Amino acid sequence: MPQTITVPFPVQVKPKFKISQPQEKKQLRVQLETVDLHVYYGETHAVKGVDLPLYQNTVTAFIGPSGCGKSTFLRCLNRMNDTIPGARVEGRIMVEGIDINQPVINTSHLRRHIGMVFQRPNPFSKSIYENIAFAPRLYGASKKDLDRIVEESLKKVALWDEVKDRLHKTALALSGGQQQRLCIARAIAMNPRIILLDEPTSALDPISTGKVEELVQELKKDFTIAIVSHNMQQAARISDYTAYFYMGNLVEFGETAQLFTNPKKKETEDYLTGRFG
Amino acid sequence: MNAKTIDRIATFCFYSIAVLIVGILLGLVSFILIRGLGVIDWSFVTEAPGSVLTGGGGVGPQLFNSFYLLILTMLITIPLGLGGGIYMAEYAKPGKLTDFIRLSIEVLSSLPSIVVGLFGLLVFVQYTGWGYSMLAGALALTVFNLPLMVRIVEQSLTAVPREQREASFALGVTHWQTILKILIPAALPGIITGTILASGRVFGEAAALLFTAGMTSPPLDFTNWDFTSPTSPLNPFRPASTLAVHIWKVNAEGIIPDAKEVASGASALLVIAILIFNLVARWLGRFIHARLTSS
Repeated sequence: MPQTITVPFPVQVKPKFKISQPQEKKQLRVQLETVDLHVYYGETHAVKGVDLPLYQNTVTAFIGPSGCGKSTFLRCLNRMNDTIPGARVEGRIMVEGIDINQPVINTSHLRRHIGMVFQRPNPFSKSIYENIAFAPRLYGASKKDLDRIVEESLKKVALWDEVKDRLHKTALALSGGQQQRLCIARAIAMNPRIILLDEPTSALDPISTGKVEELVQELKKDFTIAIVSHNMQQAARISDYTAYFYMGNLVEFGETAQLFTNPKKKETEDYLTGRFG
Repeated sequence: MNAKTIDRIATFCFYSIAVLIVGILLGLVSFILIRGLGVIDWSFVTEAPGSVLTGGGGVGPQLFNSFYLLILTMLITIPLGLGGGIYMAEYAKPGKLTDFIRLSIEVLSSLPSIVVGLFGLLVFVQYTGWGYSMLAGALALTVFNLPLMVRIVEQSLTAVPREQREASFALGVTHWQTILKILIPAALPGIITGTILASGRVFGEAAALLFTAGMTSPPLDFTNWDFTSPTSPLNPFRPASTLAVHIWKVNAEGIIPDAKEVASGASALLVIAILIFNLVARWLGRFIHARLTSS
């Protein structure tokens, strides 16, 4: 008679994937902090009072099921929700001691410092060079500076060697993964403080996804990064902090290692173990 | 009847309609060309019409007038149309005012051209005191080209994918710069198509010009480049009959013996001119688009 092994419940949450370990504790500086942030789309209450900090030179991942408000929340941080008719954002978003969620804030100026990369790669139908040089030129960069900015940005996203011979050819001929890295290069060309990534790999194949993930690790040395991901493994791999959103609420926020291995809230655990969502 | 048969019948119907359309076009164009090409020679294209009694001569001034009037009209229509279209697509907030503007544009575009012509006669010819003049004709044509132009610019701009707009905003580029550097280049093919359509209406229009630009053309001296001289072809305040108006006039009230030939020749010339203009405009548009987008 073979011995049957009964599994003792509850099972310890043992993720099957690699989790990034917390950085050595150093003084973390808050780069951006939201205070009681609400978003309404007409009658819909999409984000319900979120308090969340982004620490300088770290990666913060926003996870949660579809429609949980994570992307909406992300789009508040550079005031992109302003461009959506009927969207209303209430609460404070503090950057360097200033509430940027005020009508008096110059959003164009703000977005130079808080860059964004979107779900689907969206290069302009211009040349690779022009895609990157476009915005810096409008802000007065000289021809010499532009050449340098284009080269540096493309090198940072590891695209330089792939495209240096066709800088003046259209960017639309690049592959999806290359286009997305070009979009990241375009964002960092403005030398922002914060980069917001809205599910940047959801339209990419696994190899391109891997490249973008590596890139995010590289970029946090220079920038503060917030990334929305519907892929938990990805969030676990690349982030230092993780925020779990559900139904417009921030359920739990903490260091990624802690949140994934030892979540404080029952809902977080349910989501992570796949019992829901 | 099974689905396959229905599919075959439907396919046959669509093909027939396509063949019918192409057939009508080919028939018309070849009819015009066959009757007209024999009349066209170098002197017909360049010379002024002969005496109103004995006929002879060509349609040189009329051909020139058609192109010059087109340029004048477009000089007024394109900036206004771009401005109106950009406003409607980018700045107008949905509401009563916007709905009213849209309704006005629709009404304006459905006005019969003869009514626009009579309106032009009252306002641009008599009220301004210019008399029959190219400028009055250009303004009358603007009145009924403007709605088309505004509509097409608006539609071309709204058809630019949202992602392009967001990409530009997210880089801290202002709304105006985004319109200028991203949206208009992306919308250019549509805008050019619209401009060509509007231009085609200028070439072909007769009714709105009868009472505005006039049915006669003064003797022109093509070496005179002084804008203010009444014999200068460039003077916008001189009366000017275009090819289309000339065709109408020769056919309707011409007493010259060669009225038929002149009308046929002028018609063929008009068709050829429109064809060449369309091809050149399309090529130019593609060239500009390629330069702006490096594709």
